[in-house]
Amino acid sequence: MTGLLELREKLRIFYGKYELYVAAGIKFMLGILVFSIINSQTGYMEQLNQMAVVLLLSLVCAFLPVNAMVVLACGQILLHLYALSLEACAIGLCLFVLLLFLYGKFAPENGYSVILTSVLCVFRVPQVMPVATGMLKGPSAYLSVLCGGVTYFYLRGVQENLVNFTSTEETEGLAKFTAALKIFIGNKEMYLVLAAFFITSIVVYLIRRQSINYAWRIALFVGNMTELVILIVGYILLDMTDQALWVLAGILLSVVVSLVLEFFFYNLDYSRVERVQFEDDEYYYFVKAVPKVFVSRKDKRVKRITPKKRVAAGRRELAEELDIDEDLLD
Amino acid sequence: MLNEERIRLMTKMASYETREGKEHMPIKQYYRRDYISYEMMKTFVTSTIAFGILFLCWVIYKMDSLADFLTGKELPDVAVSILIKYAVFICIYQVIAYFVYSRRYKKATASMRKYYATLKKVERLQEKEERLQPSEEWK
Repeated sequence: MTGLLELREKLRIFYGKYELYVAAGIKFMLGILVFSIINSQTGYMEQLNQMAVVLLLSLVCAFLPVNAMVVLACGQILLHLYALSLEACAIGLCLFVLLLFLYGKFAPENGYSVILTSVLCVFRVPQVMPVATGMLKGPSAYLSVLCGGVTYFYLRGVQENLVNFTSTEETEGLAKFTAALKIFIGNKEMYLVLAAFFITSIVVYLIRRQSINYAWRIALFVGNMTELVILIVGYILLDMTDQALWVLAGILLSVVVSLVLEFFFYNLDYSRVERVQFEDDEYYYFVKAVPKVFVSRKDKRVKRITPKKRVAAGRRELAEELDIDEDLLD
Repeated sequence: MLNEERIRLMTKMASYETREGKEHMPIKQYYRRDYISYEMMKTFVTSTIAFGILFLCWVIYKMDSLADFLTGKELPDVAVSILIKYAVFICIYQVIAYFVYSRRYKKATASMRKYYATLKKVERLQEKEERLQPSEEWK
Protein backbone atom coordinates (compact mmCIF):
# COMPACT_ATOMS: atom_id res chain seq x y z
CA MET A 1 0.00 0.00 0.00
CA THR A 2 2.81 2.40 0.87
CA GLY A 3 4.38 1.67 -2.50
CA LEU A 4 1.11 2.54 -4.24
CA LEU A 5 0.79 5.76 -2.27
CA GLU A 6 4.33 6.69 -3.18
CA LEU A 7 3.54 5.95 -6.82
CA ARG A 8 0.48 8.19 -6.58
CA GLU A 9 2.56 11.04 -5.18
CA LYS A 10 5.17 10.54 -7.91
CA LEU A 11 2.44 10.63 -10.57
CA ARG A 12 0.96 13.77 -9.06
CA ILE A 13 4.32 15.49 -8.96
CA PHE A 14 5.08 14.35 -12.49
CA TYR A 15 1.71 15.67 -13.73
CA GLY A 16 2.18 18.96 -11.89
CA LYS A 17 5.64 19.38 -13.38
CA TYR A 18 4.78 18.48 -16.96
CA GLU A 19 1.05 19.31 -17.00
CA LEU A 20 1.19 21.08 -20.35
CA TYR A 21 2.89 18.20 -22.16
CA VAL A 22 0.94 15.45 -20.40
CA ALA A 23 -2.42 17.12 -21.15
CA ALA A 24 -1.45 17.68 -24.79
CA GLY A 25 -0.21 14.09 -25.07
CA ILE A 26 -3.42 12.68 -23.57
CA LYS A 27 -5.55 14.79 -25.92
CA PHE A 28 -3.45 13.73 -28.90
CA MET A 29 -3.81 10.02 -28.05
CA LEU A 30 -7.52 10.41 -27.34
CA GLY A 31 -7.90 12.29 -30.63
CA ILE A 32 -6.25 9.46 -32.57
CA LEU A 33 -8.57 6.97 -30.84
CA VAL A 34 -11.74 9.02 -31.42
CA PHE A 35 -11.12 9.98 -35.05
CA SER A 36 -9.95 6.45 -35.95
CA ILE A 37 -13.07 4.95 -34.34
CA ILE A 38 -15.33 7.37 -36.25
CA ASN A 39 -13.57 6.43 -39.49
CA SER A 40 -13.79 2.70 -38.76
CA GLN A 41 -17.45 2.87 -37.66
CA THR A 42 -18.77 5.20 -40.35
CA GLY A 43 -16.00 5.78 -42.92
CA TYR A 44 -18.40 6.58 -45.79
CA MET A 45 -16.32 9.49 -47.09
CA GLU A 46 -13.11 8.14 -48.57
CA GLN A 47 -11.25 11.46 -48.41
CA LEU A 48 -11.66 11.56 -44.62
CA ASN A 49 -10.98 7.88 -44.07
CA GLN A 50 -7.21 8.27 -44.00
CA MET A 51 -4.62 8.11 -41.25
CA ALA A 52 -3.15 11.48 -42.28
CA VAL A 53 -6.49 13.18 -41.59
CA VAL A 54 -6.75 11.44 -38.22
CA LEU A 55 -3.23 12.54 -37.24
CA LEU A 56 -3.82 16.10 -38.40
CA LEU A 57 -7.08 16.42 -36.49
CA SER A 58 -5.51 14.86 -33.38
CA LEU A 59 -2.60 17.26 -33.56
CA VAL A 60 -4.97 20.23 -33.75
CA CYS A 61 -6.94 18.87 -30.78
CA ALA A 62 -3.78 18.41 -28.69
CA PHE A 63 -3.37 22.17 -28.39
CA LEU A 64 -7.02 23.18 -28.11
CA PRO A 65 -9.59 22.70 -25.33
CA VAL A 66 -11.31 19.31 -25.29
CA ASN A 67 -14.53 20.82 -26.62
CA ALA A 68 -12.70 21.43 -29.91
CA MET A 69 -12.36 17.66 -30.20
CA VAL A 70 -16.12 17.31 -29.68
CA VAL A 71 -16.82 19.85 -32.43
CA LEU A 72 -14.33 18.25 -34.86
CA ALA A 73 -15.67 14.76 -34.11
CA CYS A 74 -19.24 15.98 -34.79
CA GLY A 75 -18.04 17.56 -38.04
CA GLN A 76 -16.32 14.35 -39.08
CA ILE A 77 -19.44 12.30 -38.31
CA LEU A 78 -21.65 14.70 -40.30
CA LEU A 79 -19.34 14.60 -43.32
CA HIS A 80 -19.35 10.80 -43.28
CA LEU A 81 -23.13 10.77 -42.97
CA TYR A 82 -23.41 13.30 -45.80
CA ALA A 83 -21.43 10.93 -48.01
CA LEU A 84 -23.90 8.19 -47.11
CA SER A 85 -27.14 10.13 -47.36
CA LEU A 86 -28.24 13.72 -46.99
CA GLU A 87 -31.18 12.65 -44.80
CA ALA A 88 -28.99 10.81 -42.28
CA CYS A 89 -26.70 13.84 -42.19
CA ALA A 90 -29.64 16.23 -41.64
CA ILE A 91 -30.99 14.19 -38.74
CA GLY A 92 -27.45 13.92 -37.33
CA LEU A 93 -27.12 17.69 -37.53
CA CYS A 94 -30.51 18.12 -35.82
CA LEU A 95 -29.32 15.76 -33.07
CA PHE A 96 -26.11 17.70 -32.46
CA VAL A 97 -27.90 21.06 -32.51
CA LEU A 98 -30.46 19.74 -30.01
CA LEU A 99 -27.76 18.38 -27.72
CA LEU A 100 -25.93 21.70 -27.91
CA PHE A 101 -28.97 23.93 -27.35
CA LEU A 102 -30.73 21.80 -24.77
CA TYR A 103 -27.73 20.71 -22.74
CA GLY A 104 -24.26 21.74 -23.97
CA LYS A 105 -25.09 25.43 -23.60
CA PHE A 106 -25.66 25.04 -19.86
CA ALA A 107 -22.76 22.72 -19.06
CA PRO A 108 -20.03 23.20 -21.64
CA GLU A 109 -17.23 21.80 -19.47
CA ASN A 110 -18.03 18.11 -19.92
CA GLY A 111 -16.33 17.35 -23.24
CA TYR A 112 -14.33 14.45 -21.84
CA SER A 113 -17.45 12.67 -20.54
CA VAL A 114 -19.18 12.90 -23.93
CA ILE A 115 -16.17 11.62 -25.84
CA LEU A 116 -15.20 8.85 -23.43
CA THR A 117 -18.79 7.56 -23.26
CA SER A 118 -19.00 7.25 -27.04
CA VAL A 119 -15.59 5.57 -27.22
CA LEU A 120 -16.42 3.09 -24.45
CA CYS A 121 -19.77 2.37 -26.11
CA VAL A 122 -17.87 1.23 -29.20
CA PHE A 123 -15.79 -1.08 -27.00
CA ARG A 124 -19.10 -2.24 -25.45
CA VAL A 125 -18.12 -1.28 -21.90
CA PRO A 126 -19.75 2.14 -21.33
CA GLN A 127 -20.85 1.01 -17.85
CA VAL A 128 -17.65 2.61 -16.53
CA MET A 129 -18.79 6.14 -17.26
CA PRO A 130 -21.88 6.71 -15.06
CA VAL A 131 -20.13 5.56 -11.88
CA ALA A 132 -16.94 7.48 -12.70
CA THR A 133 -18.91 10.65 -13.50
CA GLY A 134 -21.05 10.21 -10.41
CA MET A 135 -17.89 10.00 -8.30
CA LEU A 136 -15.97 12.88 -9.82
CA LYS A 137 -18.61 15.37 -10.97
CA GLY A 138 -21.89 16.98 -9.98
CA PRO A 139 -25.38 16.26 -11.37
CA SER A 140 -25.03 18.76 -14.23
CA ALA A 141 -22.41 16.48 -15.81
CA TYR A 142 -24.56 13.35 -15.86
CA LEU A 143 -26.46 14.35 -18.97
CA SER A 144 -23.17 14.56 -20.86
CA VAL A 145 -22.84 10.79 -20.51
CA LEU A 146 -26.29 10.47 -22.06
CA CYS A 147 -25.24 12.77 -24.94
CA GLY A 148 -22.33 10.45 -25.72
CA GLY A 149 -24.66 7.44 -25.50
CA VAL A 150 -27.28 8.95 -27.84
CA THR A 151 -24.63 9.78 -30.44
CA TYR A 152 -23.28 6.23 -30.34
CA PHE A 153 -26.77 4.70 -30.68
CA TYR A 154 -27.54 6.94 -33.66
CA LEU A 155 -24.36 5.93 -35.49
CA ARG A 156 -24.95 2.26 -34.65
CA GLY A 157 -28.52 2.57 -35.89
CA VAL A 158 -27.35 4.05 -39.19
CA GLN A 159 -24.79 1.26 -39.52
CA GLU A 160 -27.39 -1.43 -38.84
CA ASN A 161 -29.90 0.07 -41.29
CA LEU A 162 -27.54 0.92 -44.12
CA VAL A 163 -29.97 -0.45 -46.72
CA ASN A 164 -32.52 2.21 -45.77
CA PHE A 165 -30.05 5.00 -46.51
CA THR A 166 -28.34 3.71 -49.64
CA SER A 167 -31.41 3.65 -51.90
CA THR A 168 -30.96 5.95 -54.89
CA GLU A 169 -34.62 6.61 -55.69
CA GLU A 170 -35.47 10.24 -55.13
CA THR A 171 -39.00 9.48 -53.98
CA GLU A 172 -37.61 7.65 -50.96
CA GLY A 173 -36.30 10.81 -49.30
CA LEU A 174 -39.09 10.85 -46.73
CA ALA A 175 -38.58 7.15 -46.00
CA LYS A 176 -34.92 7.86 -45.27
CA PHE A 177 -35.87 10.62 -42.82
CA THR A 178 -38.34 8.31 -41.13
CA ALA A 179 -35.73 5.53 -40.96
CA ALA A 180 -33.25 7.93 -39.32
CA LEU A 181 -35.85 9.09 -36.80
CA LYS A 182 -36.88 5.52 -36.03
CA ILE A 183 -33.36 4.90 -34.73
CA PHE A 184 -34.31 7.07 -31.76
CA ILE A 185 -38.01 6.52 -31.44
CA GLY A 186 -38.15 2.75 -31.63
CA ASN A 187 -34.88 2.03 -29.85
CA LYS A 188 -35.90 0.57 -26.49
CA GLU A 189 -32.34 -0.55 -25.75
CA MET A 190 -31.17 3.05 -25.98
CA TYR A 191 -33.78 4.22 -23.48
CA LEU A 192 -32.88 1.38 -21.13
CA VAL A 193 -29.15 2.17 -21.24
CA LEU A 194 -29.69 5.92 -20.84
CA ALA A 195 -32.07 5.44 -17.90
CA ALA A 196 -29.64 2.99 -16.25
CA PHE A 197 -26.77 5.44 -16.68
CA PHE A 198 -28.68 8.40 -15.29
CA ILE A 199 -30.08 6.52 -12.28
CA THR A 200 -26.63 5.06 -11.51
CA SER A 201 -24.94 8.46 -11.57
CA ILE A 202 -27.58 9.94 -9.28
CA VAL A 203 -27.33 6.99 -6.84
CA VAL A 204 -23.52 7.31 -6.71
CA TYR A 205 -23.77 11.07 -6.20
CA LEU A 206 -26.35 10.82 -3.41
CA ILE A 207 -24.39 8.18 -1.49
CA ARG A 208 -20.95 9.73 -1.86
CA ARG A 209 -22.25 13.03 -0.48
CA GLN A 210 -23.37 11.37 2.76
CA SER A 211 -21.41 12.01 5.92
CA ILE A 212 -20.66 8.34 6.47
CA ASN A 213 -17.40 6.49 6.67
CA TYR A 214 -16.25 4.94 3.40
CA ALA A 215 -18.91 6.94 1.52
CA TRP A 216 -17.11 6.64 -1.84
CA ARG A 217 -16.48 2.91 -1.47
CA ILE A 218 -20.14 2.27 -0.62
CA ALA A 219 -21.25 4.60 -3.43
CA LEU A 220 -19.19 2.83 -6.06
CA PHE A 221 -20.34 -0.64 -5.05
CA VAL A 222 -24.01 0.32 -4.73
CA GLY A 223 -23.81 2.30 -7.99
CA ASN A 224 -22.31 -0.61 -9.90
CA MET A 225 -24.84 -3.02 -8.41
CA THR A 226 -27.72 -0.70 -9.33
CA GLU A 227 -26.43 -0.43 -12.89
CA LEU A 228 -25.96 -4.18 -13.16
CA VAL A 229 -29.46 -4.94 -11.90
CA ILE A 230 -31.18 -2.34 -14.12
CA LEU A 231 -29.31 -3.42 -17.24
CA ILE A 232 -29.67 -7.17 -16.67
CA VAL A 233 -33.38 -6.95 -15.84
CA GLY A 234 -33.92 -4.56 -18.74
CA TYR A 235 -32.15 -6.80 -21.24
CA ILE A 236 -34.11 -9.82 -20.01
CA LEU A 237 -37.37 -7.89 -20.47
CA LEU A 238 -36.25 -6.79 -23.94
CA ASP A 239 -35.32 -10.39 -24.72
CA MET A 240 -31.71 -9.44 -25.42
CA THR A 241 -29.98 -11.84 -23.01
CA ASP A 242 -26.92 -12.09 -25.27
CA GLN A 243 -25.90 -8.66 -23.94
CA ALA A 244 -25.66 -9.91 -20.35
CA LEU A 245 -22.06 -11.05 -20.65
CA TRP A 246 -20.96 -7.64 -21.95
CA VAL A 247 -22.85 -5.93 -19.15
CA LEU A 248 -21.07 -8.13 -16.61
CA ALA A 249 -17.67 -7.40 -18.20
CA GLY A 250 -18.47 -3.68 -18.24
CA ILE A 251 -19.48 -3.68 -14.58
CA LEU A 252 -16.32 -5.55 -13.56
CA LEU A 253 -14.22 -3.00 -15.42
CA SER A 254 -16.30 -0.24 -13.86
CA VAL A 255 -15.56 -1.57 -10.34
CA VAL A 256 -11.82 -1.63 -11.08
CA VAL A 257 -11.85 1.88 -12.58
CA SER A 258 -13.95 3.23 -9.69
CA LEU A 259 -11.51 1.76 -7.13
CA VAL A 260 -8.58 3.36 -8.98
CA LEU A 261 -10.42 6.70 -9.05
CA GLU A 262 -11.20 6.41 -5.35
CA PHE A 263 -7.53 5.73 -4.63
CA PHE A 264 -6.41 8.77 -6.61
CA PHE A 265 -9.07 11.30 -5.66
CA TYR A 266 -10.51 10.28 -2.30
CA ASN A 267 -8.08 8.24 -0.26
CA LEU A 268 -9.02 8.96 3.34
CA ASP A 269 -7.80 7.52 6.62
CA TYR A 270 -10.94 6.77 8.61
CA SER A 271 -8.93 5.51 11.60
CA ARG A 272 -7.97 9.12 12.39
CA VAL A 273 -11.38 10.81 12.12
CA GLU A 274 -11.74 13.91 14.26
CA ARG A 275 -15.03 15.38 15.35
CA VAL A 276 -15.08 18.98 16.48
CA GLN A 277 -17.87 21.19 17.65
CA PHE A 278 -17.91 24.97 17.88
CA GLU A 279 -20.23 27.93 17.53
CA ASP A 280 -20.42 31.50 16.35
CA ASP A 281 -23.16 34.11 16.75
CA GLU A 282 -25.51 32.46 14.28
CA TYR A 283 -24.69 28.73 14.11
CA TYR A 284 -23.48 25.63 15.89
CA TYR A 285 -20.97 23.67 13.82
CA PHE A 286 -20.57 19.90 14.03
CA VAL A 287 -17.52 19.15 11.94
CA LYS A 288 -16.17 15.76 10.98
CA ALA A 289 -12.62 15.99 9.69
CA VAL A 290 -11.16 12.96 7.92
CA PRO A 291 -7.43 13.14 7.13
CA LYS A 292 -6.18 12.19 3.71
CA VAL A 293 -3.76 9.29 3.42
CA PHE A 294 -0.48 10.84 2.47
CA VAL A 295 3.03 9.53 2.22
CA SER A 296 5.90 11.87 1.63
CA ARG A 297 8.02 10.93 -1.31
CA LYS A 298 11.26 9.22 -0.47
CA ASP A 299 14.14 11.17 -1.89
CA LYS A 300 16.85 8.61 -2.35
CA ARG A 301 20.25 10.14 -2.70
CA VAL A 302 23.36 8.06 -2.98
CA LYS A 303 26.36 9.78 -1.52
CA ARG A 304 29.73 8.15 -2.19
CA ILE A 305 32.05 8.32 0.73
CA THR A 306 34.75 6.13 -0.77
CA PRO A 307 36.87 7.56 -3.57
CA LYS A 308 35.89 6.52 -7.02
CA LYS A 309 37.96 3.60 -8.28
CA ARG A 310 40.26 4.66 -10.96
CA VAL A 311 39.74 2.96 -14.21
CA ALA A 312 42.75 0.96 -15.21
CA ALA A 313 44.44 2.88 -17.94
CA GLY A 314 46.21 1.30 -20.82
CA ARG A 315 49.98 1.17 -21.02
CA ARG A 316 50.14 3.96 -23.56
CA GLU A 317 47.82 6.36 -21.66
CA LEU A 318 49.75 5.76 -18.45
CA ALA A 319 53.10 6.37 -20.15
CA GLU A 320 51.72 9.55 -21.75
CA GLU A 321 50.41 10.76 -18.42
CA LEU A 322 53.73 10.14 -16.64
CA ASP A 323 55.61 11.55 -19.62
CA ILE A 324 57.95 8.54 -19.82
CA ASP A 325 58.81 5.97 -22.44
CA GLU A 326 56.29 3.12 -22.72
CA ASP A 327 59.11 0.47 -22.46
CA LEU A 328 60.04 1.65 -18.98
CA LEU A 329 56.79 0.21 -17.66
CA ASP A 330 57.88 -3.40 -18.34
CA MET B 1 15.22 43.53 -3.97
CA LEU B 2 12.51 41.09 -5.03
CA ASN B 3 9.46 40.89 -2.81
CA GLU B 4 8.63 37.18 -2.65
CA GLU B 5 5.19 37.72 -1.10
CA ARG B 6 4.17 40.10 -3.90
CA ILE B 7 5.49 37.74 -6.59
CA ARG B 8 3.60 34.84 -5.02
CA LEU B 9 0.34 36.83 -5.02
CA MET B 10 0.88 38.06 -8.57
CA THR B 11 1.54 34.50 -9.79
CA LYS B 12 -1.66 33.40 -8.10
CA MET B 13 -3.57 36.20 -9.83
CA ALA B 14 -2.02 35.46 -13.23
CA SER B 15 -2.95 31.80 -12.84
CA TYR B 16 -6.53 32.80 -11.99
CA GLU B 17 -6.71 35.16 -14.98
CA THR B 18 -5.69 32.40 -17.40
CA ARG B 19 -8.02 29.76 -15.92
CA GLU B 20 -11.27 30.56 -14.11
CA GLY B 21 -10.84 34.30 -14.68
CA LYS B 22 -11.36 33.87 -18.41
CA GLU B 23 -14.90 32.72 -17.69
CA HIS B 24 -15.64 34.89 -14.65
CA MET B 25 -14.31 38.27 -15.77
CA PRO B 26 -16.72 38.78 -18.71
CA ILE B 27 -19.65 37.80 -16.45
CA LYS B 28 -18.76 40.52 -13.95
CA GLN B 29 -18.94 43.19 -16.65
CA TYR B 30 -22.72 43.03 -16.23
CA TYR B 31 -25.04 43.69 -13.33
CA ARG B 32 -26.65 40.50 -12.07
CA ARG B 33 -30.05 41.33 -13.51
CA ASP B 34 -28.64 42.32 -16.91
CA TYR B 35 -26.49 39.20 -17.14
CA ILE B 36 -29.32 36.82 -16.26
CA SER B 37 -31.81 38.59 -18.57
CA TYR B 38 -29.33 38.51 -21.44
CA GLU B 39 -28.64 34.80 -20.96
CA MET B 40 -32.35 34.04 -20.63
CA MET B 41 -32.99 35.83 -23.92
CA LYS B 42 -30.30 33.75 -25.59
CA THR B 43 -31.86 30.63 -24.06
CA PHE B 44 -35.25 31.71 -25.43
CA VAL B 45 -33.81 31.82 -28.95
CA THR B 46 -31.95 28.49 -28.65
CA SER B 47 -34.89 26.69 -27.03
CA THR B 48 -37.21 28.06 -29.75
CA ILE B 49 -34.88 26.64 -32.41
CA ALA B 50 -34.72 23.34 -30.48
CA PHE B 51 -38.53 23.18 -30.28
CA GLY B 52 -38.72 23.96 -34.00
CA ILE B 53 -36.36 21.06 -34.77
CA LEU B 54 -38.32 18.68 -32.53
CA PHE B 55 -41.61 19.79 -34.13
CA LEU B 56 -40.19 19.37 -37.62
CA CYS B 57 -38.94 15.88 -36.77
CA TRP B 58 -42.37 14.99 -35.39
CA VAL B 59 -44.07 16.25 -38.57
CA ILE B 60 -41.68 14.26 -40.78
CA TYR B 61 -42.09 11.14 -38.68
CA LYS B 62 -45.88 11.42 -38.71
CA MET B 63 -46.10 12.59 -42.33
CA ASP B 64 -47.85 9.43 -43.54
CA SER B 65 -50.46 9.46 -40.79
CA LEU B 66 -50.74 13.26 -40.54
CA ALA B 67 -53.94 13.32 -42.58
CA ASP B 68 -55.52 10.73 -40.25
CA PHE B 69 -54.27 12.66 -37.25
CA LEU B 70 -55.87 15.88 -38.43
CA THR B 71 -59.18 14.32 -39.48
CA GLY B 72 -62.01 15.41 -37.28
CA LYS B 73 -59.88 18.04 -35.56
CA GLU B 74 -60.19 21.78 -35.94
CA LEU B 75 -56.94 23.30 -37.18
CA PRO B 76 -57.02 26.16 -34.61
CA ASP B 77 -57.36 23.59 -31.81
CA VAL B 78 -54.28 21.74 -33.07
CA ALA B 79 -52.38 25.04 -33.30
CA VAL B 80 -53.40 26.00 -29.76
CA SER B 81 -52.29 22.62 -28.42
CA ILE B 82 -48.90 23.02 -30.16
CA LEU B 83 -48.59 26.55 -28.78
CA ILE B 84 -49.29 25.32 -25.26
CA LYS B 85 -46.59 22.67 -25.62
CA TYR B 86 -44.22 25.33 -26.93
CA ALA B 87 -45.01 27.64 -24.00
CA VAL B 88 -44.43 24.85 -21.45
CA PHE B 89 -41.16 23.90 -23.16
CA ILE B 90 -39.96 27.51 -23.17
CA CYS B 91 -41.00 28.03 -19.52
CA ILE B 92 -39.07 24.95 -18.40
CA TYR B 93 -35.95 26.14 -20.19
CA GLN B 94 -36.33 29.69 -18.87
CA VAL B 95 -36.47 28.34 -15.31
CA ILE B 96 -33.39 26.16 -15.94
CA ALA B 97 -31.57 29.14 -17.48
CA TYR B 98 -32.46 31.35 -14.51
CA PHE B 99 -31.04 28.85 -12.01
CA VAL B 100 -27.94 28.00 -14.05
CA TYR B 101 -26.97 31.61 -14.76
CA SER B 102 -27.81 32.90 -11.26
CA ARG B 103 -25.50 30.25 -9.88
CA ARG B 104 -22.82 31.08 -12.41
CA TYR B 105 -23.03 34.78 -11.53
CA LYS B 106 -22.83 34.01 -7.81
CA LYS B 107 -19.77 31.84 -8.35
CA ALA B 108 -18.12 34.51 -10.51
CA THR B 109 -18.86 37.18 -7.87
CA ALA B 110 -17.30 35.11 -5.09
CA SER B 111 -14.16 34.30 -7.04
CA MET B 112 -13.75 37.86 -8.35
CA ARG B 113 -14.08 39.18 -4.80
CA LYS B 114 -11.12 37.03 -3.82
CA TYR B 115 -9.25 38.25 -6.89
CA TYR B 116 -9.82 41.92 -6.01
CA ALA B 117 -8.78 41.28 -2.40
CA THR B 118 -5.49 39.82 -3.67
CA LEU B 119 -5.13 42.77 -6.05
CA LYS B 120 -5.49 45.22 -3.14
CA LYS B 121 -2.89 43.27 -1.16
CA VAL B 122 -0.49 43.52 -4.10
CA GLU B 123 -1.13 47.26 -4.39
CA ARG B 124 -0.46 47.75 -0.69
CA LEU B 125 2.78 45.77 -0.91
CA GLN B 126 3.84 47.80 -3.93
CA GLU B 127 3.12 51.10 -2.18
CA LYS B 128 5.09 49.92 0.82
CA GLU B 129 8.01 49.00 -1.42
CA GLU B 130 7.89 52.36 -3.16
CA ARG B 131 7.90 54.17 0.18
CA LEU B 132 10.96 52.23 1.29
CA GLN B 133 12.88 52.47 -1.97
CA PRO B 134 14.00 56.21 -1.90
CA SER B 135 15.32 55.93 1.63
CA GLU B 136 17.40 52.90 0.64
CA GLU B 137 18.81 54.78 -2.37
CA TRP B 138 19.59 57.78 -0.18
CA LYS B 139 21.62 55.55 2.13
